[in-house]
Amino acid sequence: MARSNSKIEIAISLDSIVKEYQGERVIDQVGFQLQEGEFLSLLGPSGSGKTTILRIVAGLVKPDSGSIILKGKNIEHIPPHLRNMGMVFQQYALFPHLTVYENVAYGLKARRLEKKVMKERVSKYLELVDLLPFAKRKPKELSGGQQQRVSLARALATEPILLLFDEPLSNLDARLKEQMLHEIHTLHRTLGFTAIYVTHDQNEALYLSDKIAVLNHGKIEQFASPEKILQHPKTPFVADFFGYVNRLEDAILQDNNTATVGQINVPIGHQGINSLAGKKGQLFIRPNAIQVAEYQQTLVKDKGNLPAVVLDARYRGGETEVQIQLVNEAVNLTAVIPKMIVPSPKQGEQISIVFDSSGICFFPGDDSDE
Amino acid sequence: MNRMTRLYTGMGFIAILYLFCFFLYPLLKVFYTSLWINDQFTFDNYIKILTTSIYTQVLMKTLSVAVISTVIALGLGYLMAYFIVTRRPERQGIWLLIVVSSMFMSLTVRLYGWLIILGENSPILKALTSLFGKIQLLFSEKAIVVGIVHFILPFVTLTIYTSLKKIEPSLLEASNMLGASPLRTFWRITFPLSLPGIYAGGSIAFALSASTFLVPIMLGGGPKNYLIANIAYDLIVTVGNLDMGAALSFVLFVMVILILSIFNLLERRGQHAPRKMD
Amino acid sequence: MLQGKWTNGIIYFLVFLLILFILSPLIVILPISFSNSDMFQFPPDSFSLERYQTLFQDEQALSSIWLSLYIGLVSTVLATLLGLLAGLGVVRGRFPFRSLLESFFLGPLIVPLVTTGIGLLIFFAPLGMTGSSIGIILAHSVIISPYITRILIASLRQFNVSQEEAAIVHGATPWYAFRTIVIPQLLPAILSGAILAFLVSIDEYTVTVFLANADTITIPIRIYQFVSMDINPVVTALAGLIVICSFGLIALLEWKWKIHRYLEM
Ligand SMILES: Nc1ncnc2c1ncn2[C@@H]1O[C@H](COP(=O)(O)OP(=O)(O)OP(=O)(O)O)[C@@H](O)[C@H]1O
Ligand SMILES: [Mg+2]
Repeated sequence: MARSNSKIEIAISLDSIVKEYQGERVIDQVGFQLQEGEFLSLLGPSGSGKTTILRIVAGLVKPDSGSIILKGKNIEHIPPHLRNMGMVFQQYALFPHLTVYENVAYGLKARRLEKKVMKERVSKYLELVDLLPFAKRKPKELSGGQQQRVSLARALATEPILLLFDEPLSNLDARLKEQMLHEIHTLHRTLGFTAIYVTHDQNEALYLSDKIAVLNHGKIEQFASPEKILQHPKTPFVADFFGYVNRLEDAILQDNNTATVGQINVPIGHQGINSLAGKKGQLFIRPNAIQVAEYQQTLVKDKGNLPAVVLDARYRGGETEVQIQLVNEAVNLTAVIPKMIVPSPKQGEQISIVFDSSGICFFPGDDSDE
Repeated sequence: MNRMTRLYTGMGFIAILYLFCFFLYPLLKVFYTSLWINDQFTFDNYIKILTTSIYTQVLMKTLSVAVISTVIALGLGYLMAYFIVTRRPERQGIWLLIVVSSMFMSLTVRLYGWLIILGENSPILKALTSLFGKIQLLFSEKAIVVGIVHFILPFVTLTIYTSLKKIEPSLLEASNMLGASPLRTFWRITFPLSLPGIYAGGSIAFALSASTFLVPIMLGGGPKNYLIANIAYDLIVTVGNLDMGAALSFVLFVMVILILSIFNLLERRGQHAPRKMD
Repeated sequence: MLQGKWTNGIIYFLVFLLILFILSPLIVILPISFSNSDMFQFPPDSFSLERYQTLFQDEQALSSIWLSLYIGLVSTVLATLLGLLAGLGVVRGRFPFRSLLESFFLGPLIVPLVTTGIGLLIFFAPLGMTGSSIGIILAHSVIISPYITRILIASLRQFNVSQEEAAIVHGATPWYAFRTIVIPQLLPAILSGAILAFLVSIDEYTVTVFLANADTITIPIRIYQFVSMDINPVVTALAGLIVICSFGLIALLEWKWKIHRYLEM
């Protein structure tokens, strides 16, 4: 009973998908499971294969091997138009010769839905994206943000099993992006659809997702919830991608909680697999895991503080980013103080810092590789 | 996009099949026919064409008429295209209309018009005669060149216009701002960048002029001014020498393809030139 | 760009002469066709529709007009289909040697018409298809198709593929997507190409003359006959009619769809 129950909840599962182009492996053994109603982000740098995975799921690209199970059904041989999916494209891909209404109705018309049902459905989703008054316009007569909302309504209107997004916000300006981000999230909460969302922007992924898959060179580096990924990046690549800006080479693991770089002890919150005391490796430190005692009063000064010198300080969205150099060790670090410090710390100013272990992780070096 | 691509590939195959039947196969048939005299496989027809003076003369005449017409059309077409492209954008349409409408206006009708203009009763010719003394244009090689130029000019103009239109205005501004004289800007920037258009226009012009059929019979005044195409027709329809006519038309075909390949080579080389500059 | 009053003046003058050159046959034909003098006089001294009245009573001319319209229409339909298939195939299909294929599709424009004509004559003669309008129609469909193919290739290259993908993902079969998304947007290009191709068919002489007999004398062959036998007053009216109709059609196309964009070589 419990077994069949859990089976129903899986919306889609991919298993060892492989795709090669001209002998080059673009998708390498990708597999994951997504539960119904979950929002998954495929996150990765350009060329990592995000779009290709999305297109494989949609049926626009045939994988060389692997299986895709949609709602318990293998859809390998089902053509894209019968897969019942919705898709939002980066360049909108609206039909310029049709009105907004006809664009949204397109999928319903292709399914030969009754006129009355169709009308209700189109109106409902146009209403949801706030575009009902624009129903009679052509896409060209709308702004970029409005066009993307039409595209969203078109994808929603067929009430698909799975919604696919391919970098839908990358053509919008920063402000519209925020607005759309919020809108997509709200729609997801109210409608409860299952979605796969492709992006190269970690903030979008963190904001929207229940699960994030980080892709690198066609491989999934980590598949986990946003919290998990933020706190426990599985590989240096993921750490780097999620803002572990400071990277210290030649660190040595002392015990479960500390590593040393030269003379300095650094507390660590998380270590990669196969870490043993005495192992050499890299330390990744988030800027906000370096706290500047002089400016963050919640901290108690103690003798664990490390003396440092300010090299430069800049404001960044209400925070203060400080470049510092440790006094005892020739190490440069970037720290972030989560508020505006006025006047900003001056160059040459003497400060002392404390490491917060929750934003620091250790990855053992690959002996064979170096 | 597998399924859509498959649909389109299938469509392409139907087109290939159709053109294979009614275009490629007939062309192969021409070559095949030209190689058989009295059921004997032989290259005699081609040897004859290249060694008999009647044929070599016609070949040379066709070649020279085509080259002269092409050169004249390139000059006039360039002037026209340059003029149009320097008009304000909203005004260019009306000039282009003149070009395009002459391109698709019946050639038979236009040549008929030239027949009147160059004819004996034409006041224009009379005026010219009173100025320069007696001139006989109609039924001469010159009349053929006039007709051919009129035929190919719109093709050349439009092609060059397109290549001029592609030139970044900022390049010209930059050149002018750097102190180059307008003439210098033209020769150093505009003209080299429009070379692809000149090559493309030249090839279409040559292909059309070398194979012209209607112009000589309407303005040439009889067999003395016939070009290859007309001789081939005569051989087949009047004389009944099918294999020889086929051979002659195939020589014309090869000549056109050869010249086009040369133009194509020039055009490709031209495309690399701008990259060297930066 | 080139400046100076003198150069400007010279350029204007030369362009004026050039335009005069381009338009001169029409400038001559139109007034004569609307005059009634039996003699060939230019400029004519009176206005009359007499020549047009004669034209519409001339059985030979009328039969040629109907024949040419018939051949033109049918071959344009065939050529439009052919051009559509060729254009979509070469731009969207998967073929090796794509640019070679494109040259092949545009080939009938480059290959000398006599060669094509002789080839079709050799091909059709044993099948008894010379002298029939079917032979001429097939020939025309091939010769005029490049005009449509080229226009379609040009406009397909500007067409965004993801539109078709969007259609298919949202439930359209490839054929439905083709009908509802691709065709409607290509319509201006298809229509412009078809009308231009039609005009070319109406005027085709070289290939037609190999395939025609006494029963299939199309307009251009008829004009040539009239002209070479004797200057017949009907021919100016016929020419005038063609000038007016073609110009009307082309002006419409240029005004509505800016067809010159598609015509670069
Ligand atoms: N049709 C194709 N033919 C050949 N190579 C392809 C094709 N489609 C994708 N690729 C290659 O596959 C790799 C992954 O491409 P993909 O479009 O999936 O990347 P992406 O992660 O979406 O990148 P971006 O963020 O730039 O959109 C790239 O190296 C790309 O060059
Ligand atoms: Mg992508």
